[in-house]
Amino acid sequence: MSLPVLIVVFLVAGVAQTTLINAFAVFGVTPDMILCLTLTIVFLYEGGYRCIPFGLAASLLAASTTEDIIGVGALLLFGAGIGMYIYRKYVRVDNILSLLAYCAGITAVYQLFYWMIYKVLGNDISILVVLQSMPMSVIYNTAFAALLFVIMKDKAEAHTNDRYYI
Amino acid sequence: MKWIKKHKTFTAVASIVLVLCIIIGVSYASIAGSTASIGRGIGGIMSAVEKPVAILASGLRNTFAGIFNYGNVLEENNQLRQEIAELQTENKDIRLTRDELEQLERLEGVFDFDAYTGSDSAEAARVISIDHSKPYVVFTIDKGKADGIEKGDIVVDGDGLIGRVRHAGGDHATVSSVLNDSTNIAFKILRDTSVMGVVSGDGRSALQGYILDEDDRVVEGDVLVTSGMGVYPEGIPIGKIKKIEYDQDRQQRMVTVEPTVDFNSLQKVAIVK
Repeated sequence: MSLPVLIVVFLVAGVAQTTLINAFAVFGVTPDMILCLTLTIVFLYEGGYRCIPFGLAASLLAASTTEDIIGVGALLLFGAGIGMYIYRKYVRVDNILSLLAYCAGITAVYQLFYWMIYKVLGNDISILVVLQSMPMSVIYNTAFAALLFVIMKDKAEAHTNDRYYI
Repeated sequence: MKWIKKHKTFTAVASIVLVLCIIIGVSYASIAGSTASIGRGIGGIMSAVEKPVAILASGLRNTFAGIFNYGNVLEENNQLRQEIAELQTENKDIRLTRDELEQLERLEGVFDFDAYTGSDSAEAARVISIDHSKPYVVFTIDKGKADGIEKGDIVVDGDGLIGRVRHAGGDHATVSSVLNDSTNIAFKILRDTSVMGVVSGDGRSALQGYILDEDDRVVEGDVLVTSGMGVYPEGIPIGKIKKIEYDQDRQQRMVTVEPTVDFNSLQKVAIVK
């Protein structure tokens, strides 16, 4: 993916995350577009890890108006992106299930760590609250990642672990 | 330098983590009230970009709500036609959209709260940015210091208490909801104002707290209003008691409170001085 396209895509995602996407909230939960976009690009593209800084920038932009403490979401996004970079080396990148499994797992981990960091920084909110909204977040993020995979799958590059690798 | 060149990837990852940790640290210090962070400055620029998009999103949300409530929409449509006819006869120069008008009408309920009875001015603001993908509810409004908004100002809507201004920029402000605020809110029961207690936010959907006097009679469905002790003025609706449990360890009756405000569909709020 070219640099200008990455800039535009993540800029749009950064603005839409805190505005447009709220029109599609289900049970008060919206998908984390920036996280899903970053994970899908890292997963599908060779060298896709180069999109992580753009994901960080978009996350920081969105956080500047919607997070109490700026940077927590970006730090976790960075971890999730690096994790995906390592993960994709061991799975088939032509298989959507590989992406969805990681996306579901990392969303749960992301939310738990988000709560933990805020807890350490003095926010006295129960973990039960995070656990209540977590299933919906996992479902929504996974569904959104599936949508992105379908849109971008033609760009997936053959990998030595893939079924049809030549 | 040699070591850095040899471990480029590690250095890059460590540098990014370090920078993010510094951002978190500065942001945390800013919340504690010492400095205005760079991030909040960026927030000002972002809020300017987000404002028109938020208006578009508001329209989209209402469109979707309309699709799923077609029957109600037809009925509502008839009522609105009558209202429009009446408004036209009154020859008012209304430039507001239907949605905005409804939202402002709901905001008028603020003046029915005991705390603001007799008050004749409120600063109405539009919610321009909110992220429901995160566990906590923090949002940005399109009014700031230029409109007289200050840190600590109380934010309400026609249904009740929303939260407090966490940071006020030139033309925007960040609001932390009561759900996200671990500060205790002193309350009294509307039905019997001698019954008092304390609640605080649980992060996303409810408030948790306890009744001060063990012998006081409370029932599920009781409406709570602010008692006037603490940061919030007296008489602002907080929510309804959803559940009452006795905590053996604390020897207190614990209450779970459902807020009167629907935090999932916030569009307009009021900041009343």
